Amino acid sequence: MVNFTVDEIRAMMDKKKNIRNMSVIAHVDHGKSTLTDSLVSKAGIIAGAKAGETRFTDTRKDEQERCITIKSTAISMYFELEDKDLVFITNPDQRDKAEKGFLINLIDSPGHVDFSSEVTAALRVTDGALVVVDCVSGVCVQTETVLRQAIAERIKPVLFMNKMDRALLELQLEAEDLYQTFQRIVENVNVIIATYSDDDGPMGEVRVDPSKGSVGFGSGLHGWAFTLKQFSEMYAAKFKIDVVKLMNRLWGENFFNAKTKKWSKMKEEDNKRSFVMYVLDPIYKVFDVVMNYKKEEIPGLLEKLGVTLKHEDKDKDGKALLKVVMRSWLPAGEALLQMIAIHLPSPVVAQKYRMEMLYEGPLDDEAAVAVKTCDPNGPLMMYISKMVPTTDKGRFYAFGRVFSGKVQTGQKCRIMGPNYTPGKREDLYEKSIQRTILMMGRYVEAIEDVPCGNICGLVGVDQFLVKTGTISTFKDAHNMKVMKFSVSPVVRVAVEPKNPADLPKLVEGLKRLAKSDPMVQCIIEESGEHIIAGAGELHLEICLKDLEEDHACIPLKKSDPVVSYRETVSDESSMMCLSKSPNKHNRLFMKAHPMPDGLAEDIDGGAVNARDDFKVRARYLAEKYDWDVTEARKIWCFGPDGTGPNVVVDVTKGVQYLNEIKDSVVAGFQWATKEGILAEENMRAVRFNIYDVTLHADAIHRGGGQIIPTTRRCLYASYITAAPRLMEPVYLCEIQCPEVAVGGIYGVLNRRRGHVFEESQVMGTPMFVVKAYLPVNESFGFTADLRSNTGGQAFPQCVFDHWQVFPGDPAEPQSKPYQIVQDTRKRKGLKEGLPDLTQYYDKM
Amino acid sequence: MSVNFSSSDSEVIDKQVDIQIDKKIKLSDIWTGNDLNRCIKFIREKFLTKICLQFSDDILHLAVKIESELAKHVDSSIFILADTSYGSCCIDEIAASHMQADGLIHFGHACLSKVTRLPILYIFPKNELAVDKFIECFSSKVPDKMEKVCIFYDVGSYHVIDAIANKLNQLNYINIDIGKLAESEEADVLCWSLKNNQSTENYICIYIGKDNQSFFNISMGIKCKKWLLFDITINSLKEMQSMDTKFLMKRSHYIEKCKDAQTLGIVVGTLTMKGYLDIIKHIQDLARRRHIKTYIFSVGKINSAKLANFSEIDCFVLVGCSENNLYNSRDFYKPLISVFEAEMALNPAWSNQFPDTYSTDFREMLPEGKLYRSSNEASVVNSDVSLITGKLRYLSDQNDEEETNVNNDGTVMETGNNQLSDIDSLNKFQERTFQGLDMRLGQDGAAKVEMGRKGVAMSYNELDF
Repeated sequence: MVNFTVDEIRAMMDKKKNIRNMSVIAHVDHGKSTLTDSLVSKAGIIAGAKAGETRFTDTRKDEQERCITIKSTAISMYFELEDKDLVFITNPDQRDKAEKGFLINLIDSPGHVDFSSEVTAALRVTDGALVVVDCVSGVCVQTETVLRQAIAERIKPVLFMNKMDRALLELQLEAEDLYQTFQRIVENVNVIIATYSDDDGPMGEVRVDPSKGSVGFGSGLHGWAFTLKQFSEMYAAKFKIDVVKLMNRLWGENFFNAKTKKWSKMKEEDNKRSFVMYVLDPIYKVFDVVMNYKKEEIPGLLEKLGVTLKHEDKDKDGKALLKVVMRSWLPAGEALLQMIAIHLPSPVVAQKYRMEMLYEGPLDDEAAVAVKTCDPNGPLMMYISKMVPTTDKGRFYAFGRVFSGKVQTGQKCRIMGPNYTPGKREDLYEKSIQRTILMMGRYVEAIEDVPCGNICGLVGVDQFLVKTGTISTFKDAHNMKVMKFSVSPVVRVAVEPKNPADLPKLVEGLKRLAKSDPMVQCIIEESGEHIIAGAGELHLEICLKDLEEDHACIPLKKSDPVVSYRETVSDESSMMCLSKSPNKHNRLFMKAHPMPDGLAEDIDGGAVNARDDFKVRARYLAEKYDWDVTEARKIWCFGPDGTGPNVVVDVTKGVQYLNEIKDSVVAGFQWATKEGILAEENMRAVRFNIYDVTLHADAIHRGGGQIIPTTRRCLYASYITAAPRLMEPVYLCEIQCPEVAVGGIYGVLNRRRGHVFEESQVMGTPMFVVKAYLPVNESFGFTADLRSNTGGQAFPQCVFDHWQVFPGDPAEPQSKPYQIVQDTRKRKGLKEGLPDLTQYYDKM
Repeated sequence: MSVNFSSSDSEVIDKQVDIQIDKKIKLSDIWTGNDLNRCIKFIREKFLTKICLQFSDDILHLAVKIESELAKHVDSSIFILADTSYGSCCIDEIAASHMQADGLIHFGHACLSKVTRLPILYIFPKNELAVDKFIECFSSKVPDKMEKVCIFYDVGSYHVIDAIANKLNQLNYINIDIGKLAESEEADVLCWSLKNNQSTENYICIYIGKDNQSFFNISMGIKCKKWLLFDITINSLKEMQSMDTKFLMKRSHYIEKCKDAQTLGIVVGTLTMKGYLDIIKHIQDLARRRHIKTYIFSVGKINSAKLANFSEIDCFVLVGCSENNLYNSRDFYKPLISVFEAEMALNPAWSNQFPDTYSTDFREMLPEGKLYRSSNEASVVNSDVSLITGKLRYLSDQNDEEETNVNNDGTVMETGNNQLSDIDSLNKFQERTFQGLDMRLGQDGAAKVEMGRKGVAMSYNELDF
C-alpha cells in the first residue's frame, strides 16, 4: 500500500460519520471491476496509469483469465475532500466537522446473474451502491435485478454511465442523441427505483438526478469521469453563478442562446441544450482534436482545459493521448469519490433506517437501539454475510459488517447461526474471536479491533457458522435477518470420485464448497448421488472447478447437468383412496386435489406459511382461492420440510382419536411429499384431503408404526389416481442482440421449447431485447448455441422464474414425461417402470 | 413395498417365504449317509442328551424325515426348531435354550456366525456344481499358472471344493489358496480362515456361488487384484466390481444421516453372536462422545412398522448377522445402518478417511478386529457441515471450558457434559401435538362399569375387519 497505513485506516474507523460502505453493482460486462480500478488507483494502491487494466478486485486466477468477476471483493480506501466540496455535505451526520478525510469501504460484485448471491451478500454489508450502466446497452435485466435488491435492502444508489468512450468512438453518436440516451437511462433507473420505493419512505429521496450530482458519466477503461458538479465548477466563476444553481441549469430542458445570452426552457432555433453545449461539446472537441490528429490544435486545447502533459506523455497520440488528456482533465477517481462521499449515506445515517429491516428482535431492545444509533459503546452486533477462503485449506475468514459495538481480537461473543432462536441453545456458540482482520482485495491485514460501521473479517468463527450468521455480545440479542437470494439453485450435477477410495475426500471437499459460496447447495441424496446445485451452468462450472482443484483435490467424474423436477397432480383423485395399516385395524380415506394457480407460489414466497395464525391464513385462502373457511382452518401441515408447497387438510367429521394420529400422519405426509411416487422428486402444489379415518380403539394399535407407513401409502394412492404430472423449472431469459440476430434467436428458442413473450428495441440503440421463457432442462449449452446461431452477437441472461407443468402424461409410455421419470429412476437406482396402484390402494 | 404393508388377509396364510432357490430341494441334496454319521458322531462324542435341529426355510419340509432317521440311531431327544427369531442362517441359541438343549445341528445355508453357548454342527446343502465347467472357465480366465489365486465359495459348494482343489493341482496351478470355512475356530474375515492371515492384495479372488449377499459381503470385505464370480446357476466365470462406488456413495448418505442424528436406536438383531454386547457398548460410547442419546431396541424380526413406532429416533443401527440385507430396503421411515457405517460416522478416528474394505461383520470393529481404531487418540474435528440438511454440526469437546456459562442462560449448574442440558428426546416429545390424554380429573361424572372387549387385540370380534 502506498498512500496510507493500517494504523491510519484504524484511526479513520472511529470517525463513523466519515465512513462510506458501498458496493458496485451492474449488469455483466458493464465495467464494474474496471471502474473500481480507477477508484483504487486514486487511493494509491495501484499506479494510476495501470487503472483500467489490472482489475485489482479480481483476485482469483480464473477471474483474471476470464475477465469476469466471480466473487465479491472488498477494499478500503482513504480519501480527502477539499473544503469547497465539503460544503455539499449538509447533513451533520454525514461528516465529522473537523475531518476532511473519508474512509470508503468498497465491494466490487460480480455482474453475471449466476453469481447474484454474491451481490446479495455484498449489499447486506454496505449502505450505498454505485450502479454502473453501460450507456451503449442501457439498463439491462441484471441492472434491474440488482437495483431492486438494493432498494429492498434500503441501499441508496448513485448512478454511473460507463463506456462513454464507446458511445463517442464506436457509435459516433451525436451530442443530442447521447443526451437523450443518458436521459433515458436516468429515467429507466428512476422508474425501477420508484417501483420499489417511494420518496416519502424512510430513506428519503432515492431517485438519482444528474443536476444534483448523483449521476456520474465517463469511461472506466480510460479512467475519466465527471458529474455535473465538475463542469459546473468550471463555469461557475466565468458565469458568476452559484455552483448548485448552475448544476440545475446544466441538465434537462434548459437551453442557452449564445447570442442573446438568454436561458430558455424551450428548444428554439438558435439556442442549444446546456448539457450539450457546456458538457458534451468540450468533450467532443477533445475527442475530435485528438483522434483526428489535429496536432496543431492540441497545445491550445490543453491550455484551455488546464491540463499539462508530463514529459513522457508528450509523444503519445491517438487513443493513448486521448486517455492521458481525459484522465488528467477529468480524473475518474476524483469525481467518483466525491459523488460517493457526498451522496451515499454514512453508517450513522443509513443504520437509522436500515435497522428495522435488519433486526429480527424487538425494535427497542438494547441491540436494536445500538444498531440504530451506530453506537460503538453499545453491545456488539455484527452480521457475517459470507465466508472467504484462506490460504489454509478448509479454513475461512468470516466476512461481515459491524453494526454496533466493537469487535476485537480475543473478544468472547455469541455466535448465532441462522437457526438460532433466543432462549434456545440451538445454533448458538459462545467463543472467542481469534483475530480480526482488514480485507483489502488480495491482501489481508491484522487489526486489533474494528468499531461499528465498518466491514472486516474474523478468524476462527468459520467453525461455528455455515455461511452466514450474527455475532453479538448481548445475551438477549436476536438474529439479524437472513438474506433472501434472487436466484435459486435449480441446476444440479452429480459428482463421484474416479477412485472410490477418495470418497471421504470428496465429502470433505463438498463441505468446504458449501461454505465458500453463499448459495451453492451440496447434498448427498438418498440415491447416493453427491449433488452440487447452483444457479446456472457457469456457476456450477466454477463450483466444480473449485471443488476439484481447491477443496477436494481429487479427480472427479461429473454427470451432465440435470434439473430437479416436481411431481404434481392435474385433477382430483378419480376415487376415494383407502389404505389399511399393516395390522389391518386402521383405515385412512384420502383424495388428492391440485392447488389453485398461484397458491404454491404464495407458499414459496411466504404469503401463506406454516407460522401464520390459522385464522388469518384461512381468511386469506378463502378470499383469494375460494377455499372453504372451515377447511382452510384445518390445514394440518405443509410439506416437505414443514414449509413446502403441499398441504394436508383434515376434512373429516367427528372422528374419534383423530388428534392422536395427527403427528403420525404429518410424519408420513412429510415423507411422501419429499419423495414422490413417480421419481422420488418433491411434490408440488398438491392438496391432500383426509375424508375419513377408522382407527383401532386401543392406542397401541394405532401408533406411529401403523399410521406413518399407511399415510404414505394412502397419499401415494391418492396421488396416482389424480392424473399425475411432472413440473419442470423454467428460466426467464433475456437476450440482448442487434436486430439482424433476432431471427436466429427465435430459431434457437423454438428448438428448445422456449417461447418469446416480449420483444422490444432498446431506445436510442440498435439493440433489441428479447424476453422468453426457457425450460431449464433445455438451457444447457444454450449460450453457446445462441452465439453460434447469431454470430456471437446475442448474449442471454437466465434467471429461474417459475415451475411449469410438463405437457404429457407420465403414465403414457410414449410421452416425454414418462421418459424423464424413467431416466430419473434409473439415475437414482430405483426400479424402472410405473408405480402400481394396487400396492398402495386397499380394497374394502 | 414389503409384504408387511400389503393388505389382502389371505396373504398371511398363503405367505411364501422368500426362498432363493427356485426348484424344490430333494432330501438327497442335503442329507447323505455321511452326514448321518457326522451327526451321530457329534452327538455321541459330546454326550448330548437334548439336540435341536434347525432348518433354513427352504428345507423345512425335509425336517421330519431327517429327524426320524436320526432318531433311529441315537437315543437322545431330538427337537425341530420350526421358526427362527432372526435369520435362518444364524444359530438360534435362544430357541434352543427354551428346550434346554445341549447341542444344535444346523441344516442349510449358514452364515457361520460364532455363538457362545452351545456346541454346533453344520450340515451344509450340497448344490450341484459342474466342476469340469468351472475348471474350464478357470483356465481360460487365469492362464498364468503362477498367478496367486484365492478361492472362496458358498457353503453349498463345500462338498466339491476338495475335488476342485485336486483338479487345479493336477493342472499345475501352484499358487492356489482355498478358503477354509471357520466352522469351529476363529474366523479371520467373515466366516473364513485365511492362511496365516496373509494379505490378499496381489491375489485374484474367485467366489463360487451366486451373486448374493454372501458374495457381496466377501467381495466388499477382501481387497484384492480382481474379483471373479463363478455363478453356479449359469456356470460361467465373470469379473465383478469389488468395491462398488455406487454402493459406497449411497451408504455415505446414511453415514451423514447418522452424523446428523440426535438420538440413535441400536436394534439388536441377534442374541447369540459373540461380541454383540461389546459392540453395543462400543457404539454407545462413541455416541456419548458426540452427545448422541442411544436407545437399545429388541423387536424380534425387524420390519418397518415396528421401527416406525419409535418416531423420535433419528437413525437405527442394526447389530446382527452379516447375511441379512435389510439395509437396502427403502421402506424404513428412518434409516437403518450397519455397525460399520455407524463406526464411520461416529468414530472420530475415521473422520475423513475410509478403509479399503467395507465390512458387514461387526466384530471387525471390536478391539481385536482389523477395523478397530481407538477413538481416544483421535483428534476430534469439532465442526462440520451436514450434507443432508446443510446445517452446521458442532461437537463441543468434553473439556471445553468455554462451554460453561453459569449465569448466562439461567442455569445454575455447569452444563459441562450433558448434565442439565437440553434433553433432545424431551424436546421432541414436546413438539408433538398429541401428548397423551387430558386427565379431566373431577370434570366428568362417574360412569358405570361396563363389559369390555375380550381376548387379544388381533381377534376382537366387535371390530369386523
